[in-house]
Amino acid sequence: MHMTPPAAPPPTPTAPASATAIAPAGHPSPLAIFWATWRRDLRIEWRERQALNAMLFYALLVIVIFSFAFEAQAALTVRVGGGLLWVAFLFAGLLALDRAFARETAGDCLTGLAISPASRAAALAGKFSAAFVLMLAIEGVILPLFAVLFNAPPGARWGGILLTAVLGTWALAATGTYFSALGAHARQRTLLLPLLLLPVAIPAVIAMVQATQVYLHGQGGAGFWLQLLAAYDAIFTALGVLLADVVLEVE
Amino acid sequence: MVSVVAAFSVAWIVTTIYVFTLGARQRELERAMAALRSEDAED
Amino acid sequence: MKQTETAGPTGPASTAAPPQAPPWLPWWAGVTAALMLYALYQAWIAAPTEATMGIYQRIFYVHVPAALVGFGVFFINLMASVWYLARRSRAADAMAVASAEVGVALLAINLITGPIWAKPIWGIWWTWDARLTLTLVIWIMYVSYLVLRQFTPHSELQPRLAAAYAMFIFVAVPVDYMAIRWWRTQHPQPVLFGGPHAGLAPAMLYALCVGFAAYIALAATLLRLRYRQEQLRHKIELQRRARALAE
Repeated sequence: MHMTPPAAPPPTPTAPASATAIAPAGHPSPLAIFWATWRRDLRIEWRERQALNAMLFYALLVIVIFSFAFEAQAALTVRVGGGLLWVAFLFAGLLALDRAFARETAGDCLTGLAISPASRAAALAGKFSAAFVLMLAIEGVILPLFAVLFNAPPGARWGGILLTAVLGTWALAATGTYFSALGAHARQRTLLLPLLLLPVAIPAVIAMVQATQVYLHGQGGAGFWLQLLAAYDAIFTALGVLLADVVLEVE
Repeated sequence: MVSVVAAFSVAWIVTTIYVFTLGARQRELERAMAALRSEDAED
Repeated sequence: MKQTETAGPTGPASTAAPPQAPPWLPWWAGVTAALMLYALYQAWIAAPTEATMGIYQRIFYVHVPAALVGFGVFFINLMASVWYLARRSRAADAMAVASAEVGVALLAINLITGPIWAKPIWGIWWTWDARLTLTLVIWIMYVSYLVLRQFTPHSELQPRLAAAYAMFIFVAVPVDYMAIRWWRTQHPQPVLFGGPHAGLAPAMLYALCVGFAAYIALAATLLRLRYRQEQLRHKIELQRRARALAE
């Protein structure tokens, strides 16, 4: 609410757990907030390993179901493998992204994150990088399974696929973290996140799938698609940092 | 010929549908407003 | 929070004044209808038949104005969203709602007339080139924007989150506009602002301009109607809240 003076919570010992972890005294620098948010999110994920395990298992199930649904063979993998792989990444990623802000609303920790405009951008960046690392970790498990279950062709260039995964996951995590924060207060948050993220993610998904397809095939260049992904990453990361204030503002 | 007629019809149909939804919403809003006014009169 | 919104600087909104349409609105609607009929005449009868595509090219006079006016309306949505975030103006938010809806309607016209034109000329209804894909994605994104508005409560939260989303999704509009200039697409190259080889015969250009005028007038009329509705809806909302607080 803009008309009322901003009621920033004082950094007292009664502040939520996140705030005490971030701000022992005074105003911490944005970088400190970034690292604190990043460490805290990853530590929580590590402590609540059952969620992480569930996400991994879910991604594994997607891959296994696909391999039955499509009668996985090397010839098919060369044609549509990129699409299947990214659908599995996307579904697992949606779970991780939804969790990113679900725990903030549960403990009402969003107020603790929103100390000042600079700290909000830093907190959002921290949450983004935690989601990014988490998604990459899940993908690191899915990728070898995919290679085995889908009989990846021997000529596939895995370095290129890894690079695509990093750029593509960055794109999903950047827009996804922002929309996760955006939908945190909405009714039916879990349903809203895919409705917001998927349309905006389509251009990135096209680029990831096309690049992965090129590298699975083992010939041709994917430079155009990687450039597109890099441009997408740059634009939406910048937008997210600039507009962090808008979604994390406290009412 | 059929295509061209179809294309122009689509343009008019979409416009008409939108105008009708606007009309329906307007009636709904005016009913709500009238309900509030009658409550005012009761007080 | 609710209290500050109901008891603004002008005090609680009153139901005393019934909403009334301004006297010029019927005139303006009449002018819009006349322009649309004149555009129809221009597109069907006055404009010459094109040499290669024949009669099918006449779809051009509705396909292109619907798209470009639709993009213009989305630009209004962006401006209204920025304005809302800067000033927290409810009027700006009402304009954002109106422009998203009208833009979705206009882009729907463009997206449906496109395949009807493509089938006899290309032999296919649809192809996933940059222009077609992005236009469909933009339409889906603005539908998502409207869904987001339905999923968030009618408080100060809704306009703020919608404005944040609006800024993310508008990125695709200029990229789509440039798509046929940057990349080789199945979709034809631009005839307007398209470089030295672009251009239209004068009679065709005139028919196109009339088409643009008709769609701009139509968009303005619809925007105005929807904008007033949104303001009325907000007023009713405030009334209900004030009542709930009083009880």
